[in-house]
Amino acid sequence: MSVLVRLLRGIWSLMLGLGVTLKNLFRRPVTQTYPHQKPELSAAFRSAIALVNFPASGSHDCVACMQCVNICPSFCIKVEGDKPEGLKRKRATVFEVDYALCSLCGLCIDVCPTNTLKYSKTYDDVGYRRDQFVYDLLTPFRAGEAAWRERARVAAVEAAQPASAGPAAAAGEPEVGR
Amino acid sequence: MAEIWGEPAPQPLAGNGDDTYYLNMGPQHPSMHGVLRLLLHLRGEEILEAEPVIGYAHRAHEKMAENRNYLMFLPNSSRVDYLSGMIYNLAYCQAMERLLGIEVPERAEHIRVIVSELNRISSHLLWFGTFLLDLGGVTPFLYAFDDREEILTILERVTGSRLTYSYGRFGGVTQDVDALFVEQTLAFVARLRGRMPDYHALVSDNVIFRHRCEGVGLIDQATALRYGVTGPCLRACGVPYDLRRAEPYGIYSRFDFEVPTQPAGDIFARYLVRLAEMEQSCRIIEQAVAALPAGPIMPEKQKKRFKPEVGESYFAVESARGHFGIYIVSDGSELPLRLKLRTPSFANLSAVAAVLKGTMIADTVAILGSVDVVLPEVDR
Amino acid sequence: MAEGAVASEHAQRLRAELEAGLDLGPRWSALEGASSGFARCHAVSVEALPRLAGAFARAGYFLELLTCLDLRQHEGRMRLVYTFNCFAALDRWRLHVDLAPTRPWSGPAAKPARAKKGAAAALDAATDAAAAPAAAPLPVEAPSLVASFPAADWLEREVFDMFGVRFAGHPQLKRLLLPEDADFHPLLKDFGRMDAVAAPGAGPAMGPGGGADG
Repeated sequence: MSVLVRLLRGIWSLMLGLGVTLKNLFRRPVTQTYPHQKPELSAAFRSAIALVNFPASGSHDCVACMQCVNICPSFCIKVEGDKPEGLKRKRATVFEVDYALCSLCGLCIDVCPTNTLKYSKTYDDVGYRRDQFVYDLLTPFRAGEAAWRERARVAAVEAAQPASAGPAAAAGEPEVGR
Repeated sequence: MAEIWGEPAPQPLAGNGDDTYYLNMGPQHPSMHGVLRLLLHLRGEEILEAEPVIGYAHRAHEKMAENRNYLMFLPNSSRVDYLSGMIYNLAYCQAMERLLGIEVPERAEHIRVIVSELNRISSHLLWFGTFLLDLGGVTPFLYAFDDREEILTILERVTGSRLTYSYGRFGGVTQDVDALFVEQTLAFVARLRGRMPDYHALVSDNVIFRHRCEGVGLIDQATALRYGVTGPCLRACGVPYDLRRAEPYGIYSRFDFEVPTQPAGDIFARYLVRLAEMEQSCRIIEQAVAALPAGPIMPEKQKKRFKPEVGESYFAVESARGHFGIYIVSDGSELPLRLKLRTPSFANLSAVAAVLKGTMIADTVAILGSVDVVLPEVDR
Repeated sequence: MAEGAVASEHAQRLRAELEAGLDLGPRWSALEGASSGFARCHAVSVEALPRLAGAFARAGYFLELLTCLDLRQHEGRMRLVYTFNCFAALDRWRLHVDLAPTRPWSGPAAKPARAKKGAAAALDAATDAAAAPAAAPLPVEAPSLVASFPAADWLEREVFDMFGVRFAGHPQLKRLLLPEDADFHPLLKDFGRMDAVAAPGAGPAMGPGGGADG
């Protein structure tokens, strides 16, 4: 093959490549201009865990069983609980997650016996210090906690008396399902 | 410190006369794909000796495994190699399923194949983009990332994550797929096939690219055998060794696909093998989607605590970079006695030192890029 | 697996090599089969290892894996596990070599109840040889296989790095993954957890996993 033929072939290969770029020049841009366009999050999107608010009971259903604490590979969940007056099950009084350590594996959600854990959908949390990522998951439930405990106590008392299943009976045992 | 344990003192570097020039490439170098440090001994532009220095991304995965129970190691598995996290994650699940004797439902097996192959294509696309970026071509990088983005979007919709999936569980997968997933997957396969001619016109036929790649960075069969090189690097020197064929795991034995090989063993051969592999992955995806049965994605009876019998097990899968093996020694407790990860990049990178000897320094980046090493996987 | 499938050319070559008077040592058939992934398992002696490795190399096998098991607590030994495989038909051989520990066990004392049903004891029961080599003293060093398999270079350095096992004849036995001035071998069972280095005064940290005696 003479030098000239090789030269022409080489140039032609470059022209072909430029043709591809030319074709793409007229395509619609695929870039998402992030702060102006917000991403659409999928239903499965995983962010820091949160407690489910069950409409039936008006609160979460964490029984402080410590299963999520024990399975967490990053050791980033802290749960404490007490036994509310008149109830058989425990109830969480502290539920903290160190999101800076969390690897979003979802094992805690898998093991939760009352299905009260879910992923939240926040994706843009920022902070200047690591301790800003220690989330208190009970914050949204603090205001209603006293009322829930009272309802649960009443429900437990009524459940203890046979054949008097009032409408409040459901409050102590919320419907489980996800 | 060295004398405390009676370990050998560091040896001074052996120079080849006065004109040997020592050059440190990395660990912070844009074309080192992570934190690899290459200590090059140069005479002029010729490399006399290349010594990879690794360990900068060592995260002690194997030690972590011994301190956690089997289930808690699950998120680590997709972080060993962040580019084919799905394959590694599912490999760990499959290794444990064999050790524990768990049956996986048919639907979960098919989903696993589809997402694994999507993950393989995304890994190859990222390699394609960054390899050409190393060689100075910015445009193919953007196109490859555009295609890869499609895969990440599809996988994110199903798994909830874009890179470190943690999608598998012992016995199945976490989330079921829907009709939209199937539709998106098939649309992507069609799209990638439409893009392939563009890639070939843009890159494969490009005269500059060919000149830099052909006949450079030869890994022959003997070298591959001595260093245990696997994956596309091995297939590029004519050995049709693919664990999906040689030791079929999961349901890979049911699918009809080819193991692409090239005889030359140079950079261009490795490039062609990877591009051909993407097409084969597309074929597997199409067959798996067509055969996707209805049914559960996890076994009916799920255990919460896993205690394998006393014994040993070695489970290997074909990752995007080659032969990935998990060697688990169980002492009958909830924690593994030993969990060793045999990563393909580790073996492939150890061969790079031999390949680089005698080449020109300008080819270093091209050779290293063509081997497709992922440093976190080397260091674990 | 090995017996059932048609023996590949490599396997035939290996068989011919092994028949030439090489000592494979006692076979551990309990570890063989589809459930473990190994075609053949043998406990080999340190003296036979380099020649065996040469036979595997000549037969066209590659060194797939080299790792170490710290069995000091119950058995008082370290165990090197070598895996050879070939690119043709699957034929995975697992050979292991027992070594005397270079450092004595410094963790909690072995519990006798657990020692009985521990991995080491159960795996020992798996050996086909009637007489276990109990009396023979264990070698303290393994021979390096770098001459037969350059892949062993990094693998042996990693084992040295993580377990402190020495390899005689290795050209450059130095740290691979850890810093050059590290003075610990983290995969030893009495090392404790990863954070034991960060907090030396704290002793082996105990986590939910059980830490040092895991």
